Amino acid sequence: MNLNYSLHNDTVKHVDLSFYVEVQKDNRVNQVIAKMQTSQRKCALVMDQGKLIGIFTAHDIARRVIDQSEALNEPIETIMTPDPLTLKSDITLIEAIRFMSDKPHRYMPVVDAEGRVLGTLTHYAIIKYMSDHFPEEIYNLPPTPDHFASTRDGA
Amino acid sequence: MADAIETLTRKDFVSDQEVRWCPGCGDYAILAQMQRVLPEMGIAREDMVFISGIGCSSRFPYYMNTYGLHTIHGRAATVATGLKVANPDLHVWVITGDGDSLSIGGNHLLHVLRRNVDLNIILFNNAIYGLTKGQYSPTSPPGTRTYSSPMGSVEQDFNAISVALAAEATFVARSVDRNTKHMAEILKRATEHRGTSFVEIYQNCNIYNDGAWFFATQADVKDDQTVILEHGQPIIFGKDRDKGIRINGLSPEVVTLGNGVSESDLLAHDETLDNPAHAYLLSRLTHPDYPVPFGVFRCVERPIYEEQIVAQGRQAVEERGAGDLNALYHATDTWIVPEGPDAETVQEIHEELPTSNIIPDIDQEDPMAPRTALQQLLYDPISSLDLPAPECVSADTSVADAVETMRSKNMGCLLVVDKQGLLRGIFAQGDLFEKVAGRDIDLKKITIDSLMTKDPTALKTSDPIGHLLHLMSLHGFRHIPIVDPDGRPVGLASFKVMLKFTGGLFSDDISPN
Repeated sequence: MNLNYSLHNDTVKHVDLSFYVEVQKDNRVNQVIAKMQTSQRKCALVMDQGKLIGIFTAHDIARRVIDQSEALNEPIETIMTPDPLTLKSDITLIEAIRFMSDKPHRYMPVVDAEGRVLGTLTHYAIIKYMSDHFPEEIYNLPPTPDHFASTRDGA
Repeated sequence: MADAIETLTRKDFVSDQEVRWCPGCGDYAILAQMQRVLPEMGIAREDMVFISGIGCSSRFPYYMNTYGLHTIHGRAATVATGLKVANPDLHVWVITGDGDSLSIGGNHLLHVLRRNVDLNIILFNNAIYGLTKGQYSPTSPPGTRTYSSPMGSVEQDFNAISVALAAEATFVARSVDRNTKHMAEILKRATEHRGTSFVEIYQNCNIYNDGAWFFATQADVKDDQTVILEHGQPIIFGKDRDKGIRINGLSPEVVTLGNGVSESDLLAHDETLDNPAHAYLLSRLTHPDYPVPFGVFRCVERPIYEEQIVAQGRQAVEERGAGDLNALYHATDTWIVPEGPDAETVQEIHEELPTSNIIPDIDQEDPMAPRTALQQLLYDPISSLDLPAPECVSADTSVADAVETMRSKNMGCLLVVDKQGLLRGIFAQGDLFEKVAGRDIDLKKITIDSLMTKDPTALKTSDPIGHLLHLMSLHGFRHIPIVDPDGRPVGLASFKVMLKFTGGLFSDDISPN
């Protein structure tokens, strides 16, 4: 499998975009955090009547919420990042990788031509996508590099 | 010599041993047919070996006046394979039972079949453990009441023919102890087949499972409840030969001939089909819904295991000369431990064998090949990445201070080091998200010691980048500390570092390779 070719031809639709939860704009911050924690998703997309209006991530929690307990009862709308940058679903992965590695964003909502949310592109999903191209070289490694066998077993 | 073989009689195959099966046992019938058929096969007695495992049937070799081995439970096929490879000219028979071959030696049976060693396996199926006095076996149907299943067995039973077909057997047949003529024909066919012949023989244990196969042997019912498979013939059965098997979709059905159903509508048997689906379908005709087939289900040609193995050995000797087993034993990693308490060193014997032309080195590389982007991504050292310097703190830092440090330095995580500067932990935004957010915790009062990941997985700058991808993609580690040989952090690898590296690695010139 040619990763270079795949990265230039597959689009962001081809990676796992499921690492997020959807919340409503009037959900309170502590509800949103609880939902993220139970589903083990570090990204919440804030919706208003089916439309994406903001994003709230574990990064925001660490920077803006963690030591501000009074914020927990506010609606998420007041603390989210409004109007987040989105990616069009037909951009190639190499474009997405270059775009995301120049920006601080770890999570980017992916939308179709009509602006509907298809999912969220994450760093992890891209890493996983790349590793899936080389299961033998990546997955079939010993627990630590020190265990790497230089010869076949028994030779 | 040839004349001598031709004049062998049944008596020549009868040994002087007292036959000690229970009176009335079906095993006697099988022994008798074997001793009847073998003289006709033109094989010298001294070229024959009967190998058995454990069980009533496995007493068989004692009663044959040939060579024989009474081996260990379930392993007759294994010993037979070794014998046949070492002495391919021998005619080897494996005598086994439903417990011996389908339970204790199930694994060994599968592999001898798939290898297609040229030997004959006769599986005496009485659906009970007889030698141990009546426990249900792998071929006992669910509900069978025995001493070990007084309320009825709750286990799904095996169909020996289906198992053999699934194991890629090249000759699969079934007969029954009380149809001696049929059994003799099948034994001859098995002897003639080149490759592993698997023959299941329904055998009555008149002590512990009497009547298990009566549906197939009682004169008044057997013709309506069994069918004799004949190659090239439509499958017809019944006392009046007025019934047959027709295929309806993927299922067989019993039909009565006449009233618009003719022989040409019936399934015709073909034992030579390469695709085992036909034979498998026949193997699933079971009592009482269908007539149970007897005969050859499948007989196909495939290369023979020992012939290929022996040929490879011969080729190796031709190309590289005869091997020296003693040299091989002492090739590498062998020692002589000196005698006596004052002995100083262990003397290592280390003679290199010229293995390179036998086994290619797995990390052999073409030194002339240019390094591709892929090789850089997988095998280059981590030191070739552009790693940010880590932010290091001590374990007694309060969570509040740690949060502030991450904020001001714009770091997603902090590395925790001890007084010597050695890596002891990692504290990341993920820990805040999972263990602190939404909980009533005074961040000034607790230290990161209790929240950090202790002794985190770290890599060295000399380790390959592929291992970073391994840890990231399999374990989801966003941040991986990079340490020097002593364990002091020198860098921090992250998803983002990997993405940046990847983005720069691949040019937009996407030629196919």
